[in-house]
Amino acid sequence: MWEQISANRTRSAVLVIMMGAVLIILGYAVGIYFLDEPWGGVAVAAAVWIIMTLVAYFQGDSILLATAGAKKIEKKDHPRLFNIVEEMTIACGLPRMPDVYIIDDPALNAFAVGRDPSKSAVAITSGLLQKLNRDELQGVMAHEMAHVKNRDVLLMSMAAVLLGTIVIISYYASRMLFYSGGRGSRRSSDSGGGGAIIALIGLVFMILAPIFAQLIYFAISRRREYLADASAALFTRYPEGLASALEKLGASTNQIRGANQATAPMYTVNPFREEGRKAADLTSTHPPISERVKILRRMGHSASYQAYERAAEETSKKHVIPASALTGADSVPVRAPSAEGAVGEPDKFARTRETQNMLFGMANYRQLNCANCGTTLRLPPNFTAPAVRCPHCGTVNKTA
Amino acid sequence: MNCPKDHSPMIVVEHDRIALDYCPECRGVWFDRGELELLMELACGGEADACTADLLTRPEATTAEARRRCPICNHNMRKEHIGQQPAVLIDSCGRGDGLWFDGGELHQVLSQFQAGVEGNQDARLLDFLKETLKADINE
Repeated sequence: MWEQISANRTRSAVLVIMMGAVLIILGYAVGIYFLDEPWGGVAVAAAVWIIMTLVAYFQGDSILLATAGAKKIEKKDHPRLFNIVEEMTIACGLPRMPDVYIIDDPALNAFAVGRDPSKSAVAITSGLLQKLNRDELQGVMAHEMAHVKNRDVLLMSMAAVLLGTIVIISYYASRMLFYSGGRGSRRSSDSGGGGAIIALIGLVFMILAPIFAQLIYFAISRRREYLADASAALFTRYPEGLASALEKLGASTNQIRGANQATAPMYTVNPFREEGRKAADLTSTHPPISERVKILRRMGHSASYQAYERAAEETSKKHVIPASALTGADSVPVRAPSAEGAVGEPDKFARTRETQNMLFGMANYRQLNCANCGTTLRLPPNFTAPAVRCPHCGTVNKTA
Repeated sequence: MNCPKDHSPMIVVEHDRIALDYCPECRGVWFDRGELELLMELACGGEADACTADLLTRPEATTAEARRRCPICNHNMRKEHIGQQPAVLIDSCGRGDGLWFDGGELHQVLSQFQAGVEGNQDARLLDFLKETLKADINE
């Protein structure tokens, strides 16, 4: 595994440099159009690159969590989820339990962020929390925490922040170009044919930059999904948990609202699933869900990287696990499923209540039980009327 | 969450382990997708997903009634019919966030609606509304 971790560090560095290169060429293109001096644009781009890299390193996790609209929760808010994250922290041997965040969104997804295993966070949508039973939730959390353990998270945060920067700059540069009626290009063409060609190349690059950056990003994010799946199977000793969770994720048609192009690869499954952009798409940041499910289900009775690699070979003739992970002796027998509805395990209805109570608590809703029929009424903080009538029995309840 | 019709704050009413958002002003009702799925689990059992999808994606009804915005995604909602005796015109979020039932009209229709005749998802949904909002409807 260590080889994998250090390879990830190298890849992080390579990625940051390649994105930096894209950003600097973009700066050159912007310089040609909007400043008299293309090198002025390069200087600005270099400064932006350094600042954004530092910001991504120190603040990447909080930016991404904020962009996704994630809110941190405490153990008392959702003891069951905390319990699972604690369990998985021990199973995968992280030095510290990740912070737990909730995204109030009916879509089904989850992601992990962080700089290193001692400073990390996992985020999960409320929709997913309601849908998954214990084994499935364990599988998803183990997958996310495997990203932390395998040091994918820093790379992902850096890439997301840099990609976001490139997308924003290109967006505004091309809009400015459009609204200024190509002022810059006229000026360039004054200086002769050579200038016009450079300007044209610059223009093309301004449009292509975000696509380049995204391609770099895609190239690195697919393989690590397989590795995280394999790790999750090992940590939970139950590949079926993640397989069935992925199936639920794949069947869901809701698109997560807090996701954007830059943050998409962080999620467990690609959050964009509008028609014409299926999760199995070639340019997708994630391997197809159906393939991931098939591999997990083919692992048989041993939860190990070797078993995962074998299953992947049988399913899609691919080598997906790095050699260093295969030499280790980590192999454990698969355990039995936990029973849904067993003592202390809530069913679908109870899980929904549990999650909603947490969200209501976080949004400062007040609970009021109708004095007559006991129907539960929940009042939002902006509900200021002095009394509310129970629609079930007609009793007027005072709200103060 | 605010009412899609009059924008006053909606309260949450919980009945039979299922919650719905209710506007005390106009008595309209909002079912978000999650709640609708739970209700369909009771109404359709194993076919719950298909039932929910059916409710959220019916053909658009032609009507002059004003469009309402989805309280979750803020996009304009579509008009569709549910039930047959008599049918109710409801608003459905095109992105699948949920269903909106206008207050007054719904209550009128529900007071005439015969409980559980068909036993399909529409009847179960309307029965549920009728039971939850008993006091409102019998007024």
